[in-house]
Amino acid sequence: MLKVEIRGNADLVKALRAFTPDLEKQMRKELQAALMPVVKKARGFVPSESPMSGWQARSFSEARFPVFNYQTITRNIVLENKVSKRDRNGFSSIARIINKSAAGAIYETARRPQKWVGAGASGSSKGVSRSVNPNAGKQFIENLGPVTSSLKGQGRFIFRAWAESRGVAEGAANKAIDTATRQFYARSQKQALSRAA
Amino acid sequence: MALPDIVIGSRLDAKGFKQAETAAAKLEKNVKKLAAAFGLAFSTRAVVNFSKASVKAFAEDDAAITVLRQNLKNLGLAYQSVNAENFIGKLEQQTGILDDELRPAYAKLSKVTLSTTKTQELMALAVDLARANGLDFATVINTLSRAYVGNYKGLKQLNIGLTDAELATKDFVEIQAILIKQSKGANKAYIDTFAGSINKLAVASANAKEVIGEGLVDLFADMAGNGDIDAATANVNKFATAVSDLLKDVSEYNLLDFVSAFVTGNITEGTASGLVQRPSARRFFTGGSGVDSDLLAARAAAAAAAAKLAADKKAAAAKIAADKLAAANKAKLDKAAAIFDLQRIQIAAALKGKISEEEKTRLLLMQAILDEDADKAEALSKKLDLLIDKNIKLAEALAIIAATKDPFTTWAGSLSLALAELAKYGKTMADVPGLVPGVNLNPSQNADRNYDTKAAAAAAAAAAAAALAAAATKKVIKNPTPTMITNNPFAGLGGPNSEGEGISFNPSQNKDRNYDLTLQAAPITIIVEGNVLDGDDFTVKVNDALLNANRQGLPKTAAGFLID
Repeated sequence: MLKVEIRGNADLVKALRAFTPDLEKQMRKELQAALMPVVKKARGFVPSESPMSGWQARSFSEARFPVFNYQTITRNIVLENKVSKRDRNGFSSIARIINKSAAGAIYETARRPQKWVGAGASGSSKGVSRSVNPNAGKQFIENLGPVTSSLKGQGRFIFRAWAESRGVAEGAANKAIDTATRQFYARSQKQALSRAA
Repeated sequence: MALPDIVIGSRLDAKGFKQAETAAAKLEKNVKKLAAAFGLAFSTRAVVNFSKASVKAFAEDDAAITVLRQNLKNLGLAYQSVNAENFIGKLEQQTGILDDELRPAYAKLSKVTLSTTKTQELMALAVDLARANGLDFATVINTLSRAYVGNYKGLKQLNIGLTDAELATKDFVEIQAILIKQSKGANKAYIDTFAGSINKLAVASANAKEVIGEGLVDLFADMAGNGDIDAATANVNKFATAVSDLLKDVSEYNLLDFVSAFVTGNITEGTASGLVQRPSARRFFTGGSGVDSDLLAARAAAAAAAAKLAADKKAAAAKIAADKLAAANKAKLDKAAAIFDLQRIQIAAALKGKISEEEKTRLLLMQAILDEDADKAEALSKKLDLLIDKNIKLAEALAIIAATKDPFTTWAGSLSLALAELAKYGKTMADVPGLVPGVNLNPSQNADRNYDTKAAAAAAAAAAAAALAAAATKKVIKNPTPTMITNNPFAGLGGPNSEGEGISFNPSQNKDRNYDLTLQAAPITIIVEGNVLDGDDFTVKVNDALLNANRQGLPKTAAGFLID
């Protein structure tokens, strides 16, 4: 019997879907069960109102800086459980928890204020603060609250939820993937696998 | 912007790395192959194969050089042979293209350019174009050689960026400049790549083969013919003949078992002793002792018979050729003599005259008979028969028409006979009922003027005389003298009081205004309804009207007006 070797997540999911669709379905279900609590917890950390009155959504916007919107932020904290593209280092993942909205990403990760240059300074506005208030950046970050460190990174919503799960979610997710992989190998050793209809 | 995320089940996807690994393995394999081509495999078989390939490569290369030299000689560029070889050698090293491709290309371009400089220029351009467009070198050479003589059809595949119309307006020099601009440095860039380096190595390998092959051929010539390749060839031929004879005799002397033993290497003691004991077989191994004299005699007789047969065939072929030549000469002479044949001349002259169809056919038939053209003669004969038949029928028809030409010639005789018969019975024609009596002759009857020339002449003379008389009575008025009118020409026409002779004077009649100055002096009042404008207003109005007319495209002239 030919030896089956799975290289990477894309191969794993393809193989599962093609030859053992039940395992693939089971794996997804287990991943969902392991990771959705983290997502829900992360959504719970989003405040219902903007921590600053000036960041509130308003009828007009004088700049392109994304405004705070509770609905947008919570709706865009999601679980994706399909295989990602390979990153520049050659790694891919089977599932991800992502904070997709711009305002949510800012709230999640803001830690260092941008350099203040003032309204009258020349040059590009990228990465600099042009507020009339030199302490605007510092005050903004202070109002957002502290970030929480986890083994996957630092943040205020998803990383905080991940840290608070204390590895349970990760363990469950990895177990689901390992189980599917092991069972696939086991079946391929026992019998010749045929492509599912 | 990288979004914050937590990844689960992340692992390395080594597919790309695996591909790189496979590519590296292939590369290694190719390099090994190249090394094997250099004879680095160190196995006897590889060395033998390499020797064979080397000799072949040398032979092909030598033939290509000779062909190119001959081509250049035919083009009047023989003095450039060495230059061409040097150029090809350098180009081969610079481009990694084998001289096997470069030489035919050089010959092809030389044929169209007839210039060594231009040829070398185009060769360099072709290399760059081939590299730039990923095309075969020979294809590019074909395209350029055609373009040089004005056929730009193939230039499209070089992606020159010009339309057909633009190409048609440019000459080859302009196109060449564009091509150079587009492809400059392409070969250098290619040769710096790994593939280019491999190509260069392949060229070096091929050249090494050729050099080694040359050495092997010289070695063989030395071994077989003391350095003389012709002598070596003769020796090889002798050897081949001997082997051939051996094979012919194998079946004749039941030596198949021995040959198979040698071929398979399965020589037993029995087969070897049997072979040695056979005198007929021993000759091949002992220099010819034990040869059967009858066999030799029969073989000599067969050879003589074959030679005789060949000689006979040759003689027969020569005779046939000579006969053919003689026949052809005779035909030519006959044709020339026909010009002086009097009978033919007469026929030809007669045919040019004004003759009937039948005569013409007869003449043509005679001509055909003289030319001994049976088919033509037969056809003309048939045609002549038909014409004769037609003419006979025509003559018969004409004979009938001639007999009925004058139906009244027998009338006088008939009438005389009739009168004689009547006289027998004392009767005349007047007594015959039904006949109308004719008019009796009246000598005093006036002659019909239309048929009586005398009367006509007299009438004409009388008319002429009358005309002269009338002319004489006419007055001719020349230069009338003017006379003064002294009397009143209107006298007697009646006065104003005469009734019905004009309108009576009426002093109370209204005067005509046009001629009555008193009436003209009276003021005329014209009432104009509307505004009376001053001069400027009028000018503005007219101007507006003209502009409006212009806007509406109204004509400025009346219909039918001719514009100067």
